[in-house]
Amino acid sequence: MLELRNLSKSYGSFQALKSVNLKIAPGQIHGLVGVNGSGKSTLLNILSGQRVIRDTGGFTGEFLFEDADRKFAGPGQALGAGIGMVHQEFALIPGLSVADNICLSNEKTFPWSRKLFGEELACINHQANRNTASAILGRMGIDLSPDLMAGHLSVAMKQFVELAREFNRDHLKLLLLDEPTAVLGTEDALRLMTAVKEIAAKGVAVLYVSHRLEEVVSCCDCMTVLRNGAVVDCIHTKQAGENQTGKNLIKTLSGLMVGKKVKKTRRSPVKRDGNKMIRLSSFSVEKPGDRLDGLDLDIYQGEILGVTSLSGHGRTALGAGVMGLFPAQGKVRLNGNPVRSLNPLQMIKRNIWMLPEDRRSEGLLLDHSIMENMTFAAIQARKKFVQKSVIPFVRFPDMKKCREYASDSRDALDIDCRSIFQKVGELSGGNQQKVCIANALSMAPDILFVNDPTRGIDIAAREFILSQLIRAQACHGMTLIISSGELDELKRICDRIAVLYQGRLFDVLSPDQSDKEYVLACSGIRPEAI
Amino acid sequence: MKRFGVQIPQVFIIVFLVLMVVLALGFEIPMNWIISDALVRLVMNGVLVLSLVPMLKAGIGINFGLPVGIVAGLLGLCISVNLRMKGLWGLSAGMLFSVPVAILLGYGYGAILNRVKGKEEITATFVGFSFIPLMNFFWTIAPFSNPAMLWPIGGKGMRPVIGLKSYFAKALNHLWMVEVMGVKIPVGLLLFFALLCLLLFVFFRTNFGRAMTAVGENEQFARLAGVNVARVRTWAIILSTMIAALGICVYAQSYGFIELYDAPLMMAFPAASAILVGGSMGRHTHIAHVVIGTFLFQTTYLISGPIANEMMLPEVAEIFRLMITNAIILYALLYEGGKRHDVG
Repeated sequence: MLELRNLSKSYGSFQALKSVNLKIAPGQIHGLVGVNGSGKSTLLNILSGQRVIRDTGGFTGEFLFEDADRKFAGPGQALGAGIGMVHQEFALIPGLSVADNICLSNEKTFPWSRKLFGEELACINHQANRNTASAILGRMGIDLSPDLMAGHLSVAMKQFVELAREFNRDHLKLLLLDEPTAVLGTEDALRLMTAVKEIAAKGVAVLYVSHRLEEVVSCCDCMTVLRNGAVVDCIHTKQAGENQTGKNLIKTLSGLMVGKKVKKTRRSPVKRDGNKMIRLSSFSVEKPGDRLDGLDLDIYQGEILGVTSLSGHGRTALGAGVMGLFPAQGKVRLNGNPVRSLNPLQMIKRNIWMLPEDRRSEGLLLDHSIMENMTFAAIQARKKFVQKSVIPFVRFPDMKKCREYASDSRDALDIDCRSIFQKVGELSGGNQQKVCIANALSMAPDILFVNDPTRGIDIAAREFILSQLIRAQACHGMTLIISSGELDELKRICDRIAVLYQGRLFDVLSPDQSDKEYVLACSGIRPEAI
Repeated sequence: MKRFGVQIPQVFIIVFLVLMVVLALGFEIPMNWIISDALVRLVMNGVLVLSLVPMLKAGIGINFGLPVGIVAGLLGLCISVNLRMKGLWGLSAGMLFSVPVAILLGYGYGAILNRVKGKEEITATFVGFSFIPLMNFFWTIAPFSNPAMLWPIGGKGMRPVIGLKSYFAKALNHLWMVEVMGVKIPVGLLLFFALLCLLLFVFFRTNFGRAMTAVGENEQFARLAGVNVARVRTWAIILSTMIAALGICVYAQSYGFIELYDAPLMMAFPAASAILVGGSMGRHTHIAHVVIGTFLFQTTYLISGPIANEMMLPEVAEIFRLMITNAIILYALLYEGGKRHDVG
């Protein structure tokens, strides 16, 4: 159905894709894996006809789809040919209902109005659209009212709605999925994969791009590994043989992706019952799409506490609420002293800091240099790296100290950049996260909230970031609260893991408990109930 | 061309300027006169254009509420004239008096703009528009006593145009005037402008200035780093208002008249065009954009007048000028809108 022959693409002097060959048959789920910057996004952009490809000079090689040579000028043409795409960033209209979004540009209309006014101006049959939408959502196993406003949904639900919209296209032949599960928890990801398998069974070809190798291995028939823009290998799950199943296959894949072996970061949990650093009682946070409701939790000094839940069940609200980014209620005690006003400045004064889950929109100044990003907070809130000044109110940053700190951090955190003056926006996700960590370390906080530290980051950088978090805890005696949907990672590095369900604390589990217990806890089911 | 920061507005204005210069040479309009006047005009309008920078950098957008700052400056000048202060002292006193007024007005203006995040530009336009009638009312009852400022008949209420000839007209223009090959160079005036530019440049290197730039780029990031976003934004607006007040002082002494009532109403638009011509794009604004933009924009203004007279079509030049001013603002808005569309 889809065949790429010697496909190459370069941006200026940088070659993003080097003669890529790829074949996908109808009904096949084809995995595409590779570390950040290996050319996955470029490939998807070509397939989905994004304008950026044509604007930067097009591509060379053959792109055959249904036996015709294709060169799309815009995403509309790709859609017309039957190629649908689910984006990493959501392309939903927030002001329209779920049903309207799913049926967008594919609406059911009243036949009489079509005759009267023509296709373009026909009256929309809302009831029929609602029925279609609920049918599709039902088939996907999602319990969601089609009347809800898309803008009010949680991230996970948005992802499902987006998928439902593509499923709704009658002539869909190839579906491109760009990190569909990046924002989902383990449980939600499973549901999504089931839905994808179902659509593939109907003869739609799927190109599945993901950083999560377990998923790729479990649902794809065939996997292509990209490294530095070239295809390194193509593995067929069935042909791989008996010894190449499950974990072995993941190891092979990750080895192929990075070109060297990745060592998993691990740390043995320590039981603590010493000083209670933070005591939260009936703590609620009104974070839209991720509410936290009446949390009672003690956090001990020096521990690494994991916080996990399905998306939308409140795991990212804890840090944001304590930092005062969203309205919060309840009592917070720090070292036994009650905290009255929750706002970032107060929290920084009390040596608390947070790494937000959305690096690009909250954690970085993309237009500023690496150095400025690393030192900004310390300069502003801590008066660190600041020159002494004779004139009151006029104080300048000490550029020499800033440069020193930035180059030391670059070396320590192994940040891949041209220089410390390079703009952060030009770095890859993993390196951006490292800059965020350097920024946090410059604040030398006692308590560090980390939200989704490895979201959208490739495996090599992932393990490195986890090891850096462990190091921060070990060397500086920081108390870390890491909220993440990546159960496997939390289990490897945390002392205790709090599981939230529907915004409430469901249980605090130990890292050596089984995956099954975690999955049950995330779904709000007690083991004794079964 | 994009690599050199040259965008469509610059291309247009440069082509227009070159055309004008060629025509001027053809009509034998004296070049030395044009250059002298261009230098004066650069500073005369440049300070007003400079006043847009803090708000642009803080991500608030173009200060279409420039009349607020202008009114503060006019009030300062009126106080100085009322005290019958003359020469440079009179001008300095006018500037000094206008600063507290600007801080006060800027604070209120900032409070309004902080409530309408995301819609600052349109709000600012209407703050400017609605502030002028309010001030018109004030001017008619202002308790000033210098007869040179009051209506000759009745002796109550301010005149729309107050001549500064016997006070401080051209006080700064004539400071350290040097003549080189027939070109009069207003050294004092240029130094004053350079000093203001330098001060603003240094300001954006300080901790507070950096915080302001950060707020402009990513508010949430700044808030997380412990920056008080509302306070920083308010100060950016106060700073813009203050520089605008100084700007009108320089403008008035150069022009030789204080113009009250409806005169400040439309002053924001040429200033906005000038900075956009200079290549400013939202928060990507540098002081060089101010200087280059004002020079290109004001010089085309200047040259087109005598040329139109030569060609016996006085209206044409004015029409072209208006078209260019407003088309550049439109282009900038389209460009910004287009960018947002690409991202979303």
